Amino acid sequence: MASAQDEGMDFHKAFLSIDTDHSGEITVDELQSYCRKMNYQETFVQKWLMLFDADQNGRITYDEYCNALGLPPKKDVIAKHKSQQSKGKKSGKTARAVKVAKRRKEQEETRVTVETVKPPVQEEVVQTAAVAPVAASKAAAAGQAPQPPPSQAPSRRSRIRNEQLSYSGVMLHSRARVFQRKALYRLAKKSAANKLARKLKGAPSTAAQQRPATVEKPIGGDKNGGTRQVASRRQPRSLPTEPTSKPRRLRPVKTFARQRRRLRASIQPGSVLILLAGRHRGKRVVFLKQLASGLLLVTGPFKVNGCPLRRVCQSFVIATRTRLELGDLRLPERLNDAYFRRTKKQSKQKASPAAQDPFTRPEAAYQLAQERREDQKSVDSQVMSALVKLGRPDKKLMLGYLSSLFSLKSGQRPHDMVF
Amino acid sequence: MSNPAAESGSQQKLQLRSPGRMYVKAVFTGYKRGLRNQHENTALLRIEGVEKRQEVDFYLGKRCAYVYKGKRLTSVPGKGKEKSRVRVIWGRVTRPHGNSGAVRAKFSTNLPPAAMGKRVRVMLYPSRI
Repeated sequence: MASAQDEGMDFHKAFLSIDTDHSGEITVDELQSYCRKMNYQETFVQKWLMLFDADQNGRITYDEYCNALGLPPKKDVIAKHKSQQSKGKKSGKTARAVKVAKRRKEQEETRVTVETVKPPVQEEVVQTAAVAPVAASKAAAAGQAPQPPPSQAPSRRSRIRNEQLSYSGVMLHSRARVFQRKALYRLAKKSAANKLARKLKGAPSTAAQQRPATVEKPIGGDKNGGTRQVASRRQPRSLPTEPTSKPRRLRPVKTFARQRRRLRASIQPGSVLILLAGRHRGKRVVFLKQLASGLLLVTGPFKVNGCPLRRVCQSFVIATRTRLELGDLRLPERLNDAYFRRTKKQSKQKASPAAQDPFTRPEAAYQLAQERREDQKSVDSQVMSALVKLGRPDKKLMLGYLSSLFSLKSGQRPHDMVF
Repeated sequence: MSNPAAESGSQQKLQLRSPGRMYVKAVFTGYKRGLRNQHENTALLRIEGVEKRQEVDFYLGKRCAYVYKGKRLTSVPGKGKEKSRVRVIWGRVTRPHGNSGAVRAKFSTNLPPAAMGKRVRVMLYPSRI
């Protein structure tokens, strides 16, 4: 008896969660957004309408819903639901707090259904849960609800999310709590266990440890013996009298190499970027890829606007919405940061008097290496072929666009502009 | 603003002009101040075309430059031999000021009072779009 009540509640909860504007009816739009949210197939919407919408007007009212499922309609539930419609508009909750509360509520719901699932019935539910709630009502004996099928429910670890409470910087769950709830102690044990296993295996971890303990060294002088054994690792010259405890760094220093490289979402391979500074400022160039250092690799193409293969910093670039379909862009492998790195001129030559030959030629101007020409050609040809793919009129437009320069004109306001 | 070396021998049609204005015009209206005290470390700028506080978000963090000429020739950074009379004080837009789109900026050295009413260039970098 109690279980029947509980099952009923799950179906009611499902209706309430789909009906997001609390109107008491489910519209096609709400179904579609729910379908998208739960990653169901598109047929979900049609099946629901077919099954529930008795009068076929595109809206599933609560009564139709209950009739189809054979549930007694909960007047008090729907009344409370409808009152939420007016309440929601007046409540002073910030949008973010509402989202947090909503997400937490959903997590609770999915957790409830996961726990009540019985393993043998799981197979059917996977196939039919989204499609035939009628079948689900039959399986309601097992206490399932038309919530996401268990196999689609997110993994436990990813479900437990830690959110910031409304821009205050305070997190919802403390670090210790997250550690416990996400069961990170299991991971920690594993890594410690791995370390121990490696140590026991005796694999030398560093080159220093691979060296033998003693080395044979010859002794000079005729009267002395031939060789002697010398320890390969020297003892420290002096040992501290008091134990020094360096405060252990809780988190490792983030050197430049270790920092995470970010890329704005507006910058995609093939995006046209406007260079804001440097000798090529104002030019519209094509973005190729982000290098390991985080700098962007761009090309004019050279024949179009005179900008060669070049590195550019993200901050000095405006990403336009224009994108070229570069497809499978095959960049020469040698194009990396070291390739573009500035070669240091021999500055020491100036200081040394021997080199101050008045007849020596002044430091030679920059000579273009052959490999630069080749790489420029190979990359630009790919970009040009992407342009050709656009078709005649668009290609002309694009070429004109790429060869034009950007500048601010009178009356233009960058904060209003769409790039 | 030099002409880019776009003209290789065969391509004469690539006569690219140097780009026009790559900065937003702004005016240095004064220092941050109460009625009777002023704090010269923070300058107030009024950016052209920015009339509301909501519009200021784009300009936050952007570098700004007060460009002026001196009497003596000073060396140009990046080009050892070249000398010029043009001088710059660089700064950054820090935060909005008031509700009408004015903006506060901090410069590497305080702006000279002679700059009041004069042009300050608000660059488009560091860009966030």
